[in-house]
Amino acid sequence: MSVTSIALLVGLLPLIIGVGIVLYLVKKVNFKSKFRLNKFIIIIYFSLLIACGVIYEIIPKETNVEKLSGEELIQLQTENNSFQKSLLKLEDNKLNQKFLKEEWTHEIKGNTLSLEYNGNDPYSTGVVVEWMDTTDQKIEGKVYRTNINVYGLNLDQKLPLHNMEWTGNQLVIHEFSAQELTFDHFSNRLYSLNQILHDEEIRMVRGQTYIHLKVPKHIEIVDSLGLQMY
Amino acid sequence: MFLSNSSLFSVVKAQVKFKINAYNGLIYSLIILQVLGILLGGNAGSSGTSINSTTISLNTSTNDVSFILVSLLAISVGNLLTTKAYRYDDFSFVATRLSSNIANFIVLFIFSCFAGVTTYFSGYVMRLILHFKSTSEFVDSSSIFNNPSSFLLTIVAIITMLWLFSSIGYIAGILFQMHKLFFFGAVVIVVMLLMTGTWIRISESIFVENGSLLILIMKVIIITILLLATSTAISNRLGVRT
Repeated sequence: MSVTSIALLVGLLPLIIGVGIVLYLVKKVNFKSKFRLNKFIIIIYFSLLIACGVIYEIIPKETNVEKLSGEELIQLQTENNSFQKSLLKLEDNKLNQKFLKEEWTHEIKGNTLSLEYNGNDPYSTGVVVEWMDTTDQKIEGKVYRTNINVYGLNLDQKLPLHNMEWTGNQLVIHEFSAQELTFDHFSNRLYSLNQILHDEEIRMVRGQTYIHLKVPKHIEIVDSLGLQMY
Repeated sequence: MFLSNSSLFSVVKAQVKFKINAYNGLIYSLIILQVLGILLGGNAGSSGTSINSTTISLNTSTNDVSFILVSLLAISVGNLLTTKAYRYDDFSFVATRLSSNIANFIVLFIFSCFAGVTTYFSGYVMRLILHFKSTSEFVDSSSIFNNPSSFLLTIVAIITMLWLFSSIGYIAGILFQMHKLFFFGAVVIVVMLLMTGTWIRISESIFVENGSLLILIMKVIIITILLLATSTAISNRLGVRT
């Protein structure tokens, strides 16, 4: 017997237990008893349920997060991919400016620039260096963050940006402190039917923070954590 | 020669009327199960992940628990209608096996409609409770007013699924009434199919490979009609009242 078959049979156990409970319940209630269920009770029950539906639909609701469809998520993923490609090719004119979060310039002393990361997930950030043919000490930086969407929820506004801090010749990227986000979602469709229809093929778009640095050629970069992207 | 001739339609109509009134006690079970579903089914699905040191949880509330419990009830009711005690009710009428079967299918369909609509709307009771109780942020969800087609299709899907489950219960009951060996034989065949993976492939082609809910509904209706037609054919071989 294959593992799938065993898993299926084990999975059927709760169903069998459920059938047992329902059968017990069905036996307990005599459908043909002398006591007939008052039609009035049925009408009240039915009206109550419909009323709940109507009340829920008409009460004002504060919607905080919009849920995107699978097609929209694919679109976001495509945007992210093309942005990364353009950035790695240093095609400034093709970069989607909606991802630009901040830009700055910084003048360093000496010929070394070191990159540091303060946090648990250095892979959430990538540094792209563009070498400039200049003799000054000025470093130009642009911070971008691409679309972040989890389960169709747009989290761009919910997740804080990484914080960039200059300490002398050192650029420290600070990860924001850990937080927990919980969302409640009501679905009109049955969850089991959602699975059957396979209409949520893509569930996550994991955007990244990119730091685009324009650095004079004579400056050496110390990158012990391997933050640079090539 | 008879003083009056009854048509199949009038006999079925009389039987349906009688059965609806006689078996309306099952609404008790339905209400109990739906209340149980509301109490247990706060979260049908909970997804969690972590991104950029942030833990994200999404609790999706649907009325799946109610649906599953009511589906089990549908199987039981389908089965129950084939038991001797319930079949003997048909002898109060001048009826044929065919008219009794058609009446049973219609009764199952009517109860499926009632159960389907109430199961769908029972979810709203849970929503109202959560709406006032929960402190989490709410995700925008489509409403009846902005997506009426999805609302209608879901209700129709629930109704047809419940009708399918009741017809499965019905055919199982008919097999059991014919001979216990037939029933256990059918169970053995289903278990064998499960082991060989054939069942998985059949289920996938029926329930999984669907482009839309409408296709799923059509497939379910066709299967249900096939099951009911088979039950009618089998039940013609059942003996008379003993």
